[in-house]
Amino acid sequence: MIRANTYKIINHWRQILFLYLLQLLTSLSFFYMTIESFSSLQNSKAFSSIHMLDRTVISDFVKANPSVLGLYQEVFLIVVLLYIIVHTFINAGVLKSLQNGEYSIRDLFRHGAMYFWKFLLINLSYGAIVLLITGLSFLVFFTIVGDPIIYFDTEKPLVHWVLSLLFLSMLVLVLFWGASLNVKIRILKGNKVVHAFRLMFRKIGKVVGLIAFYAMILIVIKQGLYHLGDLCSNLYVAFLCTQLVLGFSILLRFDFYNRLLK
Amino acid sequence: MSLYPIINSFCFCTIILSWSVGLRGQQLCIQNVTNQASVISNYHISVELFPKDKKAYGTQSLSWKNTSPDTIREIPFYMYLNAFKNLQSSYLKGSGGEIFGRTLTNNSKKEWGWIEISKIKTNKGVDLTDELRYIQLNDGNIHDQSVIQLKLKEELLPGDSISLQMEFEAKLPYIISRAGYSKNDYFFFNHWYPQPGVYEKDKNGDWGWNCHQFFRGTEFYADFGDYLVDITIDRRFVVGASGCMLDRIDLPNNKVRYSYQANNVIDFAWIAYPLFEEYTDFYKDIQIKMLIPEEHCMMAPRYLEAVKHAFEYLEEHVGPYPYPSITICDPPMHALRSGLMEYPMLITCGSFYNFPEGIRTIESLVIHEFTHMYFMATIATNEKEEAWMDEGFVTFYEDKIMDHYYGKKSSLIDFYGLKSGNSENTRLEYTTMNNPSEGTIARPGWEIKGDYKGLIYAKTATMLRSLEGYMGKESFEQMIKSYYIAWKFKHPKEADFRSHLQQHIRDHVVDYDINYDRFLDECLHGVGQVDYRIDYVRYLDLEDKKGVYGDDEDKAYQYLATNQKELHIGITNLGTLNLPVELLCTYVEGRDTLLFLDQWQQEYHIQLPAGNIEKIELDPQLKLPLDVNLNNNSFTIDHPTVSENIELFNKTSKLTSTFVDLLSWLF
Repeated sequence: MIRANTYKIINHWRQILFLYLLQLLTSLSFFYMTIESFSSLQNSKAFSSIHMLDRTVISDFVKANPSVLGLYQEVFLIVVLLYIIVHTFINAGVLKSLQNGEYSIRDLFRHGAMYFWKFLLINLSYGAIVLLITGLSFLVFFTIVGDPIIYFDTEKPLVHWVLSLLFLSMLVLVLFWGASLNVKIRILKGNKVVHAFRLMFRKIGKVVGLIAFYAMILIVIKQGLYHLGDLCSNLYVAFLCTQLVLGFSILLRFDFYNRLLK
Repeated sequence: MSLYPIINSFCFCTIILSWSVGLRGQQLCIQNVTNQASVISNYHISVELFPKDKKAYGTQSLSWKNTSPDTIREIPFYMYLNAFKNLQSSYLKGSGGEIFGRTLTNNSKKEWGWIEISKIKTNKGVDLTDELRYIQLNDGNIHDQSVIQLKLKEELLPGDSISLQMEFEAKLPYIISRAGYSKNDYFFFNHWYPQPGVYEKDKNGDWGWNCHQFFRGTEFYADFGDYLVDITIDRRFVVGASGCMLDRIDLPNNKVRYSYQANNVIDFAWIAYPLFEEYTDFYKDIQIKMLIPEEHCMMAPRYLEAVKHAFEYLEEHVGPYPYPSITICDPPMHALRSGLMEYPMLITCGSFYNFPEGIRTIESLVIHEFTHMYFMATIATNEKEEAWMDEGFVTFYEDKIMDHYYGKKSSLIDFYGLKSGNSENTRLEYTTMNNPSEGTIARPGWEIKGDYKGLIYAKTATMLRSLEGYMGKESFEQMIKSYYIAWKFKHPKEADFRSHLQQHIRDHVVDYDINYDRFLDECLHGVGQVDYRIDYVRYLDLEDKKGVYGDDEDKAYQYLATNQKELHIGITNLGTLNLPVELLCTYVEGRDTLLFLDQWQQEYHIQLPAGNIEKIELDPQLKLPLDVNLNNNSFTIDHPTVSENIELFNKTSKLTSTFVDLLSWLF
């Protein structure tokens, strides 16, 4: 089972590579923006400290150049919007390809273009639900609790309550997301949303288990990644490792899609 | 979230509980000998707590000595708890009914606090109760009862003492700021008893009472005294207090009486909460007692380590700790508003369940409050009028201790690639103020309306770092050590510190012999900022400078070789505070030239012999952290290497990938 799944994912290497390049481009856009923003420091020794994410350098720079923050916000929003659009396109292609067992880049693009608007609609409504759920959760929480500092005897239940709330929100989100995945596919076959939700509820254990498993793997990888720069003296090796980890996280996502669709 | 803190907390609690239980009951706190020369007031207070009413009833036997050349006819007493009596007190007035995020307009009667003297008489039995009246000398607010004045029936001559017997009731408010009660019978008593003001010379040398009303943004000021305090309380409470516990006597009705002694202190505070865990440790012979709620016990090793670092550093670089104990109280979340404060031999901190180890605000705060035992408790400056003299010095040493033990660039935050040093953070608190020029440092706390912390804590600490930079570390340390010896158990003022500094400079070698008085004037009483910038670096051809210069007999002959060039450097201060600064020119061949620009000028135009310059740096060793923009302090032709660019990309992509991952899993 694992082997078969692994083979199936490996067969998607082109899509994985494509997604990796997409993330690389996003990173590069931030990288070049950072370099460009700090270009006025080219002759300052502070410039060579930027790579340390030196707080003094950055704070002094932003204080002296307040417009930079606005620029970052603008670019950030543009990148987020672009990312949502491109990923909607890619997801449409990936999901349909996974369902059909067709692995070519051409199919990925073809399916992406064919179902883009439907997927965008689902993604947007999904985004609205994310906001609604988190907003409502906190609204209910603060309506009941008021001032958490006074309401609780200790912060322990507060921490546990917030974590439970977040977990519950995540669960609802995942269910919706999973259902929307099904809807995306079933709609193509003419089935209904309710049916898709029902299917997802039947798979609730699997969904939660998968999410927890991949979240754990990603946390472990990310922890290692953050310490890598300090531990690894060879910058090139550290750089390569970073990129491998990026690729691996995409691979995990593919696996997740694949398992969920079974 | 790492699992380590959870495992760690379990192990630590198990170990330390058994350890502290074993130590409990032993007499381990040895009281220091009082310094009679500095002791003005002596207190014997007996107090009993009535938890249901949130009240304590006390009797106070006070002996006060007139050490002035004046005859005393009245004594003012601080009645701090009356600041929480109503919204018209000078402390709460203008708050809009909200303090530290807590709304007071809906307070029930039980939630207000006050203090009342029901009876006062001399030790000869003369009743003086009718001679008490509230005074409001600062703002004339008749609703404010934070100071009460006692008119004496008999004059008190120079050198004489008076003994007064008082009965008082202290009703705690629901915690607003510092003192108060909270859930589950949490009680924190600070500034809870009638305490006389300070009779001293003012800035003009005239004797008089210094006993200000209580305002927001101000703290406390009192004379040194010896305290003997008996606390009667239900047995279920865990109690902590300033000083050493002398005795513990079980009483009927499940009550117990603790007797505490604290010598040579300016105040006495105590705390009681049934849900505190109690841990005991030592630094040399000094008892460290920790009161911490169960849910925070994983923080105990962090507190202990940090406090021991503070002990070690301050004893080495300032002077010996003058007291026999320190009690550290970490309030539960619901009582957080009583945290982050200092009282002699008792400090309150603030932590949170499973707070990440890489964020060291817990260490930073406990070190800060502990350092107040030197600058506030021992060198007892006036916190109301000259807050910079304790908070500024304390922040300066907090930075030093944190950076020394936890790493200069990562002492405050070292969390998933994000790093920040404590002193770095302090400087940025000053430089990133909305308006760093909003006012002077040296003024009473009640006059400061803007960013109090940025100005009093951060700017002062940054100024002291600059002072240390000019004087040199060794000389600065000598100065502080002698300041500590000269002024411990006294009330130095700005003028005293400045004259001590001047004396030190006259007697000792300092790195740079600048006008330190001018430096302090500019920094403490001015509002200017420093921002030196390298404007230009040019090589000038000197062909057109050949010739004879000067009109007098000593004409300066200058003959320049063909193609000889001169290096011109332009420096401008973009701010208005002109201070001396170092300039370092480093040449490719390895030599360098260090200049000290001590003309206190706005602009400098410097000429140096030309050479193959690698870089030019203003303030290369960061001796002037007051400079609000360090990025424009250097000019280098040494561009980042390829490897540095890759590392920058690496870091950027790490952060971006986290964000992108999140997005990609969401959509």
